[in-house]
Amino acid sequence: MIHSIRTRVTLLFMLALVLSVLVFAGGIWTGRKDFAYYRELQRYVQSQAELAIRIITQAETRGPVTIMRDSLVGAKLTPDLVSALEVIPDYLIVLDTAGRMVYVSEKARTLPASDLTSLQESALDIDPGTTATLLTLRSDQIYLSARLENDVRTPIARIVAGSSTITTEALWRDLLRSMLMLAPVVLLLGGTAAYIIGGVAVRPITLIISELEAITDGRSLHKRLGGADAEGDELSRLTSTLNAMIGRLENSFGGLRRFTADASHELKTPLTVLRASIERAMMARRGSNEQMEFLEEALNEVTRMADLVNSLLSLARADEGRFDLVRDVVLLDSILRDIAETATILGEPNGILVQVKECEPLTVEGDAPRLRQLLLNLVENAIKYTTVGGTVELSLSAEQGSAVLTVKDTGMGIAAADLPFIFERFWRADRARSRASGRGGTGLGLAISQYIAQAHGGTLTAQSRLGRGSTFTLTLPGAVRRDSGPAVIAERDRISHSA
Amino acid sequence: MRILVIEDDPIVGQFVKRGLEEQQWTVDLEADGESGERAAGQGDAYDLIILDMRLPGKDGLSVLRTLRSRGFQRPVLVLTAQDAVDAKVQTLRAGADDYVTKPFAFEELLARIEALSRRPRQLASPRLEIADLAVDLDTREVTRAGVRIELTPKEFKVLEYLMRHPGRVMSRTLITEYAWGYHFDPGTNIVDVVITHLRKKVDAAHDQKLIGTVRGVGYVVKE
Repeated sequence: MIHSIRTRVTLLFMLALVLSVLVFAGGIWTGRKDFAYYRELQRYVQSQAELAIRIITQAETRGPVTIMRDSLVGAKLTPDLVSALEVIPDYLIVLDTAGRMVYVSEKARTLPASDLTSLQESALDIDPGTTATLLTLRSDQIYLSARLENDVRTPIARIVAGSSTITTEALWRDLLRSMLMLAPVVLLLGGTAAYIIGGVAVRPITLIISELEAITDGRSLHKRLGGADAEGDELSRLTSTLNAMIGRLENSFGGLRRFTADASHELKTPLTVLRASIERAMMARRGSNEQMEFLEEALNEVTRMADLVNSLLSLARADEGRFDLVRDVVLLDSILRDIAETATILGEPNGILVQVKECEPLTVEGDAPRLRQLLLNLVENAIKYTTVGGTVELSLSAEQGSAVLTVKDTGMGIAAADLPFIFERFWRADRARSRASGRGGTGLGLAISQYIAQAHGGTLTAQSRLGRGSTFTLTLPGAVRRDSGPAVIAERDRISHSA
Repeated sequence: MRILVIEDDPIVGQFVKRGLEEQQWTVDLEADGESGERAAGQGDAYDLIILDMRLPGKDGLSVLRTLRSRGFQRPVLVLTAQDAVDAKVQTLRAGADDYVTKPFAFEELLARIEALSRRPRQLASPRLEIADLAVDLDTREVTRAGVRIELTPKEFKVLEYLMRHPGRVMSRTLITEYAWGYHFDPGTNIVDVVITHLRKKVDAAHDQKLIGTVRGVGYVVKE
């Protein structure tokens, strides 16, 4: 199913959906610092720093700010200034000219000692002014803003205000988490939608395929695909293109049919005349034996040429899908006995034993002369390629409702490399391997035999081992057992197989 | 028996005419559809018509239809170059009784005519006899000097063919066509093998040999 366009479209769409969700989430996460909320936070930090410096300046107007020496914590601001600064709830540290922290806000005191040290170092480091600096500590991430105290009378040097971004980060994390949790649901919904849309888009193509499949051979080429409307979308363009192509095929097939009919006449008429002349000359009973010999040679040649013409026309029709048969009840066992006698006669000069191994009384619906032609061809080949003293075995049996005819020889066999090609037109075994001294057959026998088998809905197959022999198997469907066959046929076809 | 042959090719037409005349039949030959129709149209002048399918002017199929629509009842044997089943079915539907595909063996044409006319040929009595050799075509019994001879189907067929044309040399090709209806590869000596069998069964025990050989051509049965 992975090969259907519908499935592939769905999978690709879902992949695209996953990628866009990831890009979206990643973009939000990395770009979050530019959001208004962060700028607001930076302004807030600035204002806190401004507020702190005002509180200190205010205190200075009432007298110089002093730093008390505390034996426990060292230097610190006076209590009234401390309480004034405590209105600022966030991070706030005040440093004296020696760089010591003289005030640490409540919030800053909750930091671990190492973080507080880092904070102190950064506080000394950062540029005072209108920018806010981001400081990453182990336990928090803080925007810092510093202000200088310029009054030389007081020992305070700078104050640093800070505000945590942690809560904001948590907000983003929550947002991302819910996005990721929603992702499978979105994916499922998107996938379903893609599958449905894919199906809708593909349905006209499926329709075209089933219509095209109905146009199988020369006989159905008059059919055209429906659905080529004036809308002119891609599919109706495809349909009209296909229709144009079928039209051209119909034309060329029609041409082939006319050619076949014309060739039948044009080639067969001279052959008929030739044959009539030869037969007349032979009938005349004048002339010498030598002349009769020439006439016989000519007659034999004419029949071969007529066979070749018929074979080529049969194959031309078969290519067109018109290898038609006369359908009648065929007594296969009767044909097989007839063939067996012929095989026995053919094999006699070379001492080839012909045996009928099995001969069940079976009938099929088919073309008796064509089937006879097929079997004669197989038997003729079997005898031709079997060495002196070999065996040719014929059998007819029923297998799962089919008639199975085999022609098995102990001949020279066919090389594995040649086996796939033996049913091709004009294929010939290596001339040297053929015992026949003169010219062989037309090379069309097996090709036509296979078409005959296929036109009956059956198969013709070959098995062979070089040097061991070949077995040709003809399988014909729809075999019926005839348990009490006509006595006349049995009488007429009684043959002794003591070759 | 009177036969009308409608065939445009003079060689084929003459060949058929002469061959049929040898059978002591009266044969008229017409070379195109219109004249053929005119000749056939005069009552029941002919017992059988042999009609070529491709004729100049009016083609064979139209001639056939016209003849049948006029009420011509006697058998019509069609000569055609088309061996496609649908073409044959078409001629049979148009009213032909049988067809012979070109190129044809004269023997085949004779056999079809014989079957259609249901009259025995001049030589085709149910019993063929040469000297003391007799072949009964109905019972398929073969006797020499009153002694029954058992023959296989192919041996019978070959002997029958030679006996039908006593004294005439029948070539291997013609014998093969008659007995097998199949053309074996050149170099196949199937006829010679069957003749050897026949000689053993028919001639071996007798001083008078009836089956003669014509080298390079074929065989003949004669006294």
